[in-house]
Amino acid sequence: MRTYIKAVKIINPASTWHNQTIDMLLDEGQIIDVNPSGKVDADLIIEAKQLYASPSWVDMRVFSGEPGEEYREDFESLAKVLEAGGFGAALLMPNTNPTIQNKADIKTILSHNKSHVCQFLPSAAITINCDGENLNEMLDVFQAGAQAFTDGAQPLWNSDILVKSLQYLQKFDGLLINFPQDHKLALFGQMNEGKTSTGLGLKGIPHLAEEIVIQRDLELLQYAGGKLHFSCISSAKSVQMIKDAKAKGLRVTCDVNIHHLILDDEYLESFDTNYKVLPPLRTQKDIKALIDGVNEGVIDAIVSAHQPYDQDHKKMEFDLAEFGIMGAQIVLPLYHKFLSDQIDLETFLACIESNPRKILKMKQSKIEKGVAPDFTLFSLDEKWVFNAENNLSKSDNSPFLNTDFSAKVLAVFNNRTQYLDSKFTHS
Amino acid sequence: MTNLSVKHLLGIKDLTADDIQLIFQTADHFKEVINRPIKKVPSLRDITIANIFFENSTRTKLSFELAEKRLSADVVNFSSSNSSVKKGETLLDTVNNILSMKVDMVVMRHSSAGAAHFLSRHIEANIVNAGDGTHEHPTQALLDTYSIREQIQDLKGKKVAIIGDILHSRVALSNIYALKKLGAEVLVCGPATLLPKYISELGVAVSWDVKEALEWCDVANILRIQLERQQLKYFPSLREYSLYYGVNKKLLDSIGKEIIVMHPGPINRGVEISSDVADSKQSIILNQVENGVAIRMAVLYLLAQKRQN
Repeated sequence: MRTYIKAVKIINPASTWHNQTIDMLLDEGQIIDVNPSGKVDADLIIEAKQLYASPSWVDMRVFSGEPGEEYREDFESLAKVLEAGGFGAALLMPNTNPTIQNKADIKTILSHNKSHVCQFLPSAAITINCDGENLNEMLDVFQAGAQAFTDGAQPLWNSDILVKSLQYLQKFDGLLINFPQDHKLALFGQMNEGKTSTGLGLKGIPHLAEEIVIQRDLELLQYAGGKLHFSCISSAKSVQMIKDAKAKGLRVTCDVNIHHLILDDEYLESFDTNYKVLPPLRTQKDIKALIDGVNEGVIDAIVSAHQPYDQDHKKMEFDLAEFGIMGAQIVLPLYHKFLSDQIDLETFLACIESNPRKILKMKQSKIEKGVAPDFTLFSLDEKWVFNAENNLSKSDNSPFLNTDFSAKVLAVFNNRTQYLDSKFTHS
Repeated sequence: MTNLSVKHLLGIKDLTADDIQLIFQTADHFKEVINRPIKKVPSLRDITIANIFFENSTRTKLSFELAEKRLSADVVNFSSSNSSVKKGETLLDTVNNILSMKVDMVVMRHSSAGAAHFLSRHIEANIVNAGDGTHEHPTQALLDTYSIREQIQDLKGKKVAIIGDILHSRVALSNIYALKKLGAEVLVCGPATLLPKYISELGVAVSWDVKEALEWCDVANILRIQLERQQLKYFPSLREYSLYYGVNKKLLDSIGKEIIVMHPGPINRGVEISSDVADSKQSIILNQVENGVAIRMAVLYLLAQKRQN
């Protein structure tokens, strides 16, 4: 299919077209022309106000329901969510049933990729069933294609296991991802510990539960060597500690859940379980430090931490409801509505594109004539409402359902195939 | 003001000072009613109330039931000490089943903080929170402050110490909200492990010393040690607690002034309060129980009135 994209501004520092507004012609799996002259014949013309393109995005933290809990999210629905969210790749956490931890599991996930725009990158458990105690066969799953090693939603609480994993993974320069939370300090906790939790009578999870693990892990990283990535940091002090560690030359990176850049713990005043998430939503002071962390390059990536749960896991008493917010479909709209005056577009895109690619050792994509198209096309002036009809997830645990947005992903080109917004497929 | 600002009584936090005064004035009237030879009025005779208790309760349940019967409401009771979820039915299903039998108001006690808020978002009936986990117990705070008001008229500027397990106490939180709205000064006292770390941000003073708290206050509200709600270990032993945080006659005599002593019950005699204090003339524990019926009548009456409007 011959596709003509008109007046699109390229955000891709590695491209010769960076920051320029161009016309692009795609055909037969290639960008065949840039700024073509004369009349252009095309099967599809894509035109939109404030149209941008950047190499396709990468979400570093996504939870699938499949295998085991397909009613929450299966591979098909997850792929649709991610594609509509602009993602050409996503790192899947291993916390499924069964846990993603052997060659067959990895191959099953990878086999899904053949026909899809969004490529699932499997991460494999560090410990068997993410129990935190028994090392998984990491060399074997690496050979099968595991992109990173993590116990996902489970923090690695055992210092000895963390040291050994960091050492073991160095054979192939493997990436270890830890979700930093001290189990005992967070035990029975429901939300951030502070004035709001006190007023609600809910047991709090102190900032300390995260900070103490980051402090410990950085010491262990210095001792063991290797590469460590912290997932979903939420506290101002964590940003500072990681900044200091980077300055010392440690190979440490980190990401933040986009919701933690926008929402604070006061949203829990009404006991709405859609705001119940781990780490818990913190305070305005933390939000400011996290945004500064993104702008200063301390925080490398922004993730959706897409964690889908249906009503049966959320519409209930607060302490019984599951932790998690889904959100991979609305990362750009959230950024545009709530963060675009504090984080510039290029920085935001680096956090969902070039930085994750670097951390996960993926190839860096370029938008150039003659290469296979691998980019996300989005408009920053496209009004829409995220609602039950256009939510592509099987779940609906988002506090942003029925929110109006004015930014939208319009297409993703990758893997010789494409996702197109319904306005192009219906016309 | 003749109407509450709220449709449900979920917590004191949602009430205005005027709401509280209206409840007090209405309770004054009902207190007079329940001391008549014929203790009943027909105010709620077209109203059906379900008392749904997912946690054990003796006095609160009895008090609500009496209040409802004194107002001539039709009453149904449902109790389950086990969580309904464990039985495979969700809270919402359980309550909706009861409501489909045409119930107008629900009085609910539940072990989860926010359970009453949750219900209020999903069902039509008026909800009265009879205690939700470690969050609020609004009618207890109303009857506590009403009982103080009976003794010392105006709470403005008065000093109230809440002593004991503040961390697990819905009574403490509701009392803090009510007392602050009525202009009283509040101090919480207990072992540091039983005081929420950020409690002072609610505008209360904090002490780890019982004698200091007693010397400071005009009224001491002594709370029960909530062993059943403690999921972790917070202090070494009941013996040590009673020695260092229990209120006894000797301690009370040593402060050189007469203060009012309260307890929401049930009392652990010899743990947080000694018998010679609980049964002393300084204690208004039984007044609290009596006032509980009048306060609950007032709350139910005003919510029903709001419903009709």
